[in-house]
Amino acid sequence: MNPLLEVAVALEKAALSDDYFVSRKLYPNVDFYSGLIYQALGFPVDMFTVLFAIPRTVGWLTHMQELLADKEQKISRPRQWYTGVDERAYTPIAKR
Amino acid sequence: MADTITIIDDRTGKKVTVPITDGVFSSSALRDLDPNLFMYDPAYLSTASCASSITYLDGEAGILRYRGYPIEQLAENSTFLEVAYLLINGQLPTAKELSTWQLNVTHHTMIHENMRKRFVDGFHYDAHPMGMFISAIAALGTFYDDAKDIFEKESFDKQILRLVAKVPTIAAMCYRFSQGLPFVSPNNALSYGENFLNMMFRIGDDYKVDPVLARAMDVLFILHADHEQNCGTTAMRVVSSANSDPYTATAAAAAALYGPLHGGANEAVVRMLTEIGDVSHVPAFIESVKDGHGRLM
Repeated sequence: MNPLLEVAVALEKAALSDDYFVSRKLYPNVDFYSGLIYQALGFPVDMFTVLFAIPRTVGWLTHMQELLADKEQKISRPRQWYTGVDERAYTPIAKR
Repeated sequence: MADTITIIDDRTGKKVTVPITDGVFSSSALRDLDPNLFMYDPAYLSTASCASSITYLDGEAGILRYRGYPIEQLAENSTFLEVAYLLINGQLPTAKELSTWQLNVTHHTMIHENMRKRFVDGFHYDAHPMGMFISAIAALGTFYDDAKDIFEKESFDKQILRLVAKVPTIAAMCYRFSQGLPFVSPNNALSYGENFLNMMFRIGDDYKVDPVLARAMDVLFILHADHEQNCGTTAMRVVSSANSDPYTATAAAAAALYGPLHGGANEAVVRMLTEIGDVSHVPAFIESVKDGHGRLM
């Protein structure tokens, strides 16, 4: 058995029985164990994100399909809150 | 109590009342008050950028549903390709629809020889597989002259099929290159998960995929298939909104996923567990996190 699995189980148990973590709603999600399972399957750490991207491609394409069919959607164009300097005159280089 | 919200512009005394549906109200009402009024919402934490009927996620309550089906039931009873069909089509497939979909995916797993020989072989020997993967997805689109026909249903469906079928091939190819191992061709006799593991780990002729490992792979794929509007999916939507082709948009989404804040969570967990090293160090680690040193990933 991967010794890190024992650490993970002990850590999860300790966190879930500790008010500090419970009150802050810090709880393990799918990522807490997926890395260990990938390791057990023989994948190096560098491949984890690639393994994430394979199935997520389905989700991404589903969202693209939904977006293209959505009559309310347009090209994304969020606004900005401009906080830079107001208009000022160009200073010739010799006068800077 | 009315399901509406009333916004008063104290500068003018003008007010507008808008309906609240499912906890959401349309910000266009603000435009009625003052066309130059905008909401400042860094990282869109309180903005719904779209209406979506794909995935329902409530992390705090531990709920994840694809098209209404709880993830627990899908993980227990379904396969990744069936879940992929469900997500893309909105309904679970009939037996006939599923076998057609599986057959189609299985027969689109091959990639053009130049993808590997001319493109991937150009990377440096120690290139990160995710950097290679992102680039390869973008490059893949250049092999299909119908990639940009996104408003023709038949063509768009074809690109979906190609991408779903070819991402495991590309992922395995990037891994094999990074290990200095020869590329393993897709095997059409194997299931989606089995084929991926075979392309990843086959060395010599006697490799046989363990069905338990193939099932584990499939379940992990089901769990990660969609988590609604996170950073990568938002990148996908933003790029798609310019009507870019699906390969380019997928590469952009994957680029967002490559960021350590997004796709790096499970890697960070393994690093944290490695640092802890032993069960006996867990209590001390918990205390140090509570004291503000380090984080529980």
